[in-house]
Amino acid sequence: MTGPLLRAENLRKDYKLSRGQKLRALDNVSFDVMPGEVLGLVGESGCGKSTLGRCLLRLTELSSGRITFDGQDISFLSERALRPLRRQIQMVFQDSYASLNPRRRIADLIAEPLCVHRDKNGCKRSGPAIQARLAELMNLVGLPVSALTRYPHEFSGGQRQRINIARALALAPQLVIADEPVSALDVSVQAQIVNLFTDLREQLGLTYVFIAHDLAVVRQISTRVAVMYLGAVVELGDTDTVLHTPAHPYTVALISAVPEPVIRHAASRTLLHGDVPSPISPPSGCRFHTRCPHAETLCSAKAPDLHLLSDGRLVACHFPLMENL
Amino acid sequence: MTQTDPVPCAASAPPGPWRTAIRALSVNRSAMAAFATLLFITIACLMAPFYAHDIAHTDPFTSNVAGSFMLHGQEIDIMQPNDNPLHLGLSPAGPTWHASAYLLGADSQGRDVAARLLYGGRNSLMISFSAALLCITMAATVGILAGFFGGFVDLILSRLMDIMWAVPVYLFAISLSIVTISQGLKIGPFTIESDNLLIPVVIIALVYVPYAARPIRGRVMALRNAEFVTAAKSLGVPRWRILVLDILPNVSNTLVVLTPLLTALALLAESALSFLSIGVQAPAASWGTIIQDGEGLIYTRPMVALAPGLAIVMVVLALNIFGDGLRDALDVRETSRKNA
Repeated sequence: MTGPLLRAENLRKDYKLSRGQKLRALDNVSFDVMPGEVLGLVGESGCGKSTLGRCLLRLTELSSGRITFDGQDISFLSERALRPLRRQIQMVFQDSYASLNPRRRIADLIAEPLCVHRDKNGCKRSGPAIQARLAELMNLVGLPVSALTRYPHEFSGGQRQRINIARALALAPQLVIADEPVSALDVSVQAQIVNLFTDLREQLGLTYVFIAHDLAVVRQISTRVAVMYLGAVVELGDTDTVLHTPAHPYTVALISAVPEPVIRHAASRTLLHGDVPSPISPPSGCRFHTRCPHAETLCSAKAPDLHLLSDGRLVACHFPLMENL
Repeated sequence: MTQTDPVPCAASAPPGPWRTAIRALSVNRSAMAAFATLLFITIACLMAPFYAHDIAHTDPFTSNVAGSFMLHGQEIDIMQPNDNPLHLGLSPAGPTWHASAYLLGADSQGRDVAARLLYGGRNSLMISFSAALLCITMAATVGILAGFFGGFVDLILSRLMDIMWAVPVYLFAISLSIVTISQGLKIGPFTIESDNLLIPVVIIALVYVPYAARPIRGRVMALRNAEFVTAAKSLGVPRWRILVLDILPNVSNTLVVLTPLLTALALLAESALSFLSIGVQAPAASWGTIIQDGEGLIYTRPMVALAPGLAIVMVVLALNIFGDGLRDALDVRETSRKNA
């Protein structure tokens, strides 16, 4: 068995606020991403999913913790030392328009990584080689080659996201971090882009970290799911296991919050009360105890560790919902 | 492969952002009218020597109080007795409204005001446009450095700009002018004589640097956090390349929009300095110096001061209207929405 492609250990990210306050955006986040898998990161707005995505790419500096990519510790490498690794890890952003420079043609945008990085032999790529690669990429993401001479504002959201994907794939990376790549798109276009991600993974043997707040999207694309709440992972396991038989009360609430066209089990719906606590002063003990329907005195006193259940998933709860096991 | 929605396909070669902007500008009537006005005034001023030598046959730089000129076959003295009952004192000839001689009359030294207006316009426009270009270059350097690098660089540059901006612009310009006009300007081995037109150019450019640097810095700071810059970073694009390819092209429209506005401000400042005799130095003319010449004649020969005054108003107004048009035309999203 090969090691994980990406390993995150005890990632912590604090934002310093005024008057000595700290906002803990990530708290002890650890997980592995195995080659070829799709890890879905889900959670409500503000739970730290995007911060986590940006930290994995070192676009945001970590406060502490360790990120290992392919056996190499990248958590505190300098930007220069990181540059060769940039070709291995790429990112697709949520806002397909904002992530493309409006003043450059699509060809220049997609060719940018090819111009910046040398090829396998350490040579600068020639014009014809870049042209050939551009045509190949356009074909891969399902856009006509004629689109290359156009500007970003001439495309629809879905097409722009294809352009972003083409740019991310230009250097044939091993890992793609997709930060809510479909959230800003129409539902019909969402399906196309999710299918494109799936097809590309099969064709190119990619590994994804797929950030989303839409469980339907995550269910469709991921092989494993990590559920985040208030900067921490509360449940991590195979997609089917986690989404069909959730063990953490927060996962249960998250799943039952998905609107359903047909109400099948209205009685079992779990509704959370109150707001998400402020990450500036998180609750003591288990961070979910203030809203948890099963909370007991232990929960407010001691924070539960992420521990392994018998079915192979990890859960951070003192009283995982055993009836689901 | 999944199906794709059709790519919007019209002309074979899609227009670039600059060409789109020019197209949007060319259908903006007020901006085009302003541009035509500017073009007309500029060309007229550039033709000053031609007008003086070949049409008006005067030398607008030497005084001519004893001379006379021909109009409709009659000889008319340049200096005429006043039409008060006692015919006390002399007044220069009033406007003849004939391009061949003293179209706008003579000034107190008997010089052709129309010819001086054109020569003065040449200086005023040249100084204000050069000052605007110099100013925008300095402001862009300061604004881009401060906005892009942030931190310590930003702290130093921004505080410097704040200090400069805290001094009233005209007071600052007047103080600098008085010093340089009396002593000339020595920069290392180079000495600029006090009657050199570079002096007002440099002074005017300098005092407006904070005015232009601030919006540029703001734009660069917004761009630095733009998602496409983050995307470029995640692709491993080096910092200088991000600056040149992602930041610069997106600030360039701010620079282009600021230039006509700065030209207008520079023209006003130049006129003010020249009016106070600390800008363009005699015998050279500028619209400001002509207004000063006309100040004493304001009751008898108002045209001497009025003509350059109106010229300044027209140019400043036209520059502002043109600048507004440019700003509208250069908004990439705005124009793309209109086309859609």
